Amino acid sequence: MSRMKSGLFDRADEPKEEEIYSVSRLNKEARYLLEDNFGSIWVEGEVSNLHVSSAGHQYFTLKEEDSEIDAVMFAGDKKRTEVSPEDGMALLVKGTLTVYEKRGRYQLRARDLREVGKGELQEKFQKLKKKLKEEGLFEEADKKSLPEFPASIGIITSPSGAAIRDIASTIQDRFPLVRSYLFPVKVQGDEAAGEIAGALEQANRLGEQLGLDALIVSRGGGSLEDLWPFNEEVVARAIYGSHLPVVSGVGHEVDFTISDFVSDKRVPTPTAAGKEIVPDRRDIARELELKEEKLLEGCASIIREAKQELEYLTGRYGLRIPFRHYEDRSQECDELTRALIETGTDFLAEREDLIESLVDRLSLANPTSLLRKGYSVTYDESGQAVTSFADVNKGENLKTRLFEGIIRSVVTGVDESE
Amino acid sequence: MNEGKDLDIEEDLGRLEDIVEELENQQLDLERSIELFEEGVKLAEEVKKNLSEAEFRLKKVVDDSELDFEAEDFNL
Repeated sequence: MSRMKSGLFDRADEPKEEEIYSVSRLNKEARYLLEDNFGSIWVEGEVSNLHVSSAGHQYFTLKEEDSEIDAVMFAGDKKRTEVSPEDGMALLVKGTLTVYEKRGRYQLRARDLREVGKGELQEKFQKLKKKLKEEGLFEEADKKSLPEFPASIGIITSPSGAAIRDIASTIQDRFPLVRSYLFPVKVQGDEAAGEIAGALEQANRLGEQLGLDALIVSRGGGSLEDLWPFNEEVVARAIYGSHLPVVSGVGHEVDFTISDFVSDKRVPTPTAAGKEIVPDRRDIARELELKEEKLLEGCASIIREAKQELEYLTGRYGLRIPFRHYEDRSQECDELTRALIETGTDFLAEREDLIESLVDRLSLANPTSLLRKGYSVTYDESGQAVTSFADVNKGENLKTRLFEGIIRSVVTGVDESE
Repeated sequence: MNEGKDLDIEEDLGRLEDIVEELENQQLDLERSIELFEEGVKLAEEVKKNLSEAEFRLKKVVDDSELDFEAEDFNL
């Protein structure tokens, strides 16, 4: 077939055998592409077309006004959530994108569900939030700012949860100099709220003794029930009453708790709490390097000016200044330059370019006043100033610097004396 | 344990800023400028060293019933 068509179609248009996708391969590659690129995501939408299969898998469409996506929650994933979807329900779905290869349809594989704006706890949450807000516990004006460089911090969370590990490894990476104190508490269950509030009071009581500059209250992700202690009034009031600034990092990005609203700074996760409470030592190191460059430049420019002044004076007074004096000062200048460069080299080893350019600028500090009188400097091909007939060879190219401009010349001969 | 030695990065950075400013105002004699340069570089290097060598330590507050608290090293 294809051979017969070759008269009609450009050969370049003909697919090579290995370039032809089978449908299954296309679907498989599309699937990999989606799965690899999105990872785990949260999607909000309204449930429709709910259908439960005999195996217990829940199929539904997640839609908004004029857009929709197929979703499935397999029976095995249902144990993660207490929400059972119903048509018309507003849901927050956590899941991964995939392609159902048999039908070539892309869909959301749901692994966790949250009902949006419903339920008893939700109602309690909204009520307390409204009450505390009216009381003024969320006022921006009351929020304390966090110290830029804390020396010591308190972390109120479970000693066995993922949160303390995330916070600790973040601080260890960014700013290990900070002294960290863990105030161990339960972060879920009936006793949790009391323990968290107690730890907040304890941390404030011990604040001076431990030198605490700020506190973190945190726990990792979980269901609304798991996070509930952070929605209790006693915790909210303890955070508000803290005279140390409090960072609240509870749950995941999508979770908001009362603790978040009343705290001085809300961050989405435990890791983010670690980032918020300490600076990054890499930023500080960069800042220090900038300062060091400024030091070197400031110092070099002082030396440069001194040298210029010296040369100006030498030119002006000519032979009336004892030459000796000039030499002494000049030597002193050179010594200081060397000291500067030596000290500089220690820490700027990797920035030799900068040093080099400074050295050049220092040593070539423009002796304008001498040139003005008609003196000149001649450089050989390597850029060295020529001071002796022995420095050059016949045929060598020279560059002579005058007060105005440069003369290029070629050596036609050398003599020991004129 | 190195606990008594309180680092004060804020103070060090402040001092460094002062040194840079003094050096930049250019009314200095050569000796003074080299002095400042050396002090500044030493300070900056020290802070950088502290930052890169610091060892993270986490303590767990155990009990403060006796007015005095107790804290023990906490390993994850």
